[in-house]
Amino acid sequence: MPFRIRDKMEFWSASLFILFGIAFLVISPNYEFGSLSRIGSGFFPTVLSVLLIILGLAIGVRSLVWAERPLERLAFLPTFLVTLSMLVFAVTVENAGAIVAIVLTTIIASFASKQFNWINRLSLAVALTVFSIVIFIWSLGMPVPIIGVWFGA
Amino acid sequence: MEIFANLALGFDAVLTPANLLYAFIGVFLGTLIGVLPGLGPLVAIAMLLPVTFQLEALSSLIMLAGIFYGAQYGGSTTAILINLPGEASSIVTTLDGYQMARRGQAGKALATAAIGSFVASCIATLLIAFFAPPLAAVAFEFGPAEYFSLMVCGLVVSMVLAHGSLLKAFAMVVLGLLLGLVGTDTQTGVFRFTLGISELSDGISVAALAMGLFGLGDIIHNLEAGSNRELLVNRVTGLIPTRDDMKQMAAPILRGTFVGSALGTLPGGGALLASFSAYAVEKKMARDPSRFGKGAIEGVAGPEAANNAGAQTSFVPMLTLGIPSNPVMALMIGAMIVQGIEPGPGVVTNQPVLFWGIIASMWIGNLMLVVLNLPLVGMWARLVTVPYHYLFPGVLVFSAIGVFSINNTPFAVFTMAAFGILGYLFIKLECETPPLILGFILGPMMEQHMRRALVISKGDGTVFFTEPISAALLVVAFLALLTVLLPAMRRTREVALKDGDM
Repeated sequence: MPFRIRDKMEFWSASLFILFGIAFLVISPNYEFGSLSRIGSGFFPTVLSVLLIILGLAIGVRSLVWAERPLERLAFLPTFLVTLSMLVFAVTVENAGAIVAIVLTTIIASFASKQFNWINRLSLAVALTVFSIVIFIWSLGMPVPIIGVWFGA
Repeated sequence: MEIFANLALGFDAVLTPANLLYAFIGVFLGTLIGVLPGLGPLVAIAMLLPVTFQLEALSSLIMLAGIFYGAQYGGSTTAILINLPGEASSIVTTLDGYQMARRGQAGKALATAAIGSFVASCIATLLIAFFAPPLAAVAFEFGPAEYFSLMVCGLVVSMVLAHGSLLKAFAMVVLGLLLGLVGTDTQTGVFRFTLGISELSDGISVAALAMGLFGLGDIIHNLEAGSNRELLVNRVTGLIPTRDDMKQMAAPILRGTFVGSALGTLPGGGALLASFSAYAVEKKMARDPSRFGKGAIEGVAGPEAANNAGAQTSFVPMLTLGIPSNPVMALMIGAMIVQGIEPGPGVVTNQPVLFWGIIASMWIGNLMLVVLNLPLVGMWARLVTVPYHYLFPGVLVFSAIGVFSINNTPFAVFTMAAFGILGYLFIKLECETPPLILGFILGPMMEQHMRRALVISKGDGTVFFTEPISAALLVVAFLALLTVLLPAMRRTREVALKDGDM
């Protein structure tokens, strides 16, 4: 039987776990391993990352043996837009302030749905901005600047 | 009786105008979020967690608990009205609740759910009051070895209860444990896996991780699937159940409560398992099982009671052992730590007001739910119809604000975004996230207990097997694993979890 990846879902799960395992294992030697009577800060991470790699390999073996199963297509556009909207929020919230951050986040995220035109997109942005400021900042006192330093506040 | 004196102490602490207000706000906001399709208790709590940081400890936990019950109840409303469960544990409610609504009995279904939840809560509150303190007393005898084994046992049970592949659930636990180690090592003060980022020295924020994995991951998944749903009922009528209805729901509610109370304490899918088992019990007890799935009132009453009882008893391991039985409790523990409370058996003796206050607030919160929900049901029903495309930008904005304001750092929002991508990948790869969150919370605790146990035993690794309680816990963990590995048991598990999937 030639080695062929049959179960794509198991294969990619395995790859993800192995990748994480290797990443943790590469850094772990920086911390002292210690001995059984005095465990160092490297002991747990090393043991766990080796375990994760072993589990990943086991799952990987199954991907060769199990019945054919494709991986569904990943939806790149929503993933990208949702992530981008969060990054923009993170970058703008302190310096530009809540108004700018919320409006930008809403507009970017809204492109992930086909239901929007510019009228309801902007209305939603305004509504969310007003709602967030009134509820979160004014009523609940969450420490978010409404207008940031970029605009002289 | 001492218990009643203690409960009185709790009620005394809760029945202040301020705490009642926080309970009310919690229940109200929880319901508001829970009613919105696709949003469940975990997202509700993660989103509102930072709000509670500014409150004193008891108030903040009262509010969080209120959010939890509110969101759970809101989820049932959505399940009944549009056949869309807000979270896993209300899946069962869609079966008969939605059918009742289709037959014009939406009001009756909603009232049944509310009454079932309330009765369950009254009984569960008493059960917790009776059983939590003795359990905490036992836990006081636990040394590090026992704690370590208890956590191993908890993680194994959470793996067994996860859907799908055991190996993947195991890998998710281990990944969670590793992610939990990021930050300062409490024992040695070494920064681990912080990649030179100063914000990571306190570890990865629980809220950002949970919000990313569950909130954002889910949003991306929903956007990809596209959602269309229909509301059947524009006006909800007939909220007051007849004497006959009451008679019909009484026994299922009681049975559901006991099933739920017992299963709720299990780590992992407690509430889900509770509502599903209660449904199975009702179906078995019914004289005419064929009515189920076509609008049987017992099919709403039993699972709703079980669901709520389970939600409440899931507090028991958290309050007495300091161990979360599900991701919601993991966030609660996070909140307690922020408030400077060390979760564990010490809470009962050192912070009696807090402990009994939380228990009393469970009952008060559920009373408020009934009072709040039945009159407001028209408003909730209208909220259910808000189209998803108006919801998800709001959820994004609120989560970003919430996560940002925990420590006032944009870094938390970056973290959340990263876990959002990961959460979406996990959904696509059918890797269950609850075991990861449990591992994440337990990671640092397990490491600490293991170290202490080995220091005490002078490096003798067999200590976990020679201490009787610790050994017993490991045997339990082993037996739980066996239930999955033995072929006969394995089939039962697959059937049970698949039915829960529906």
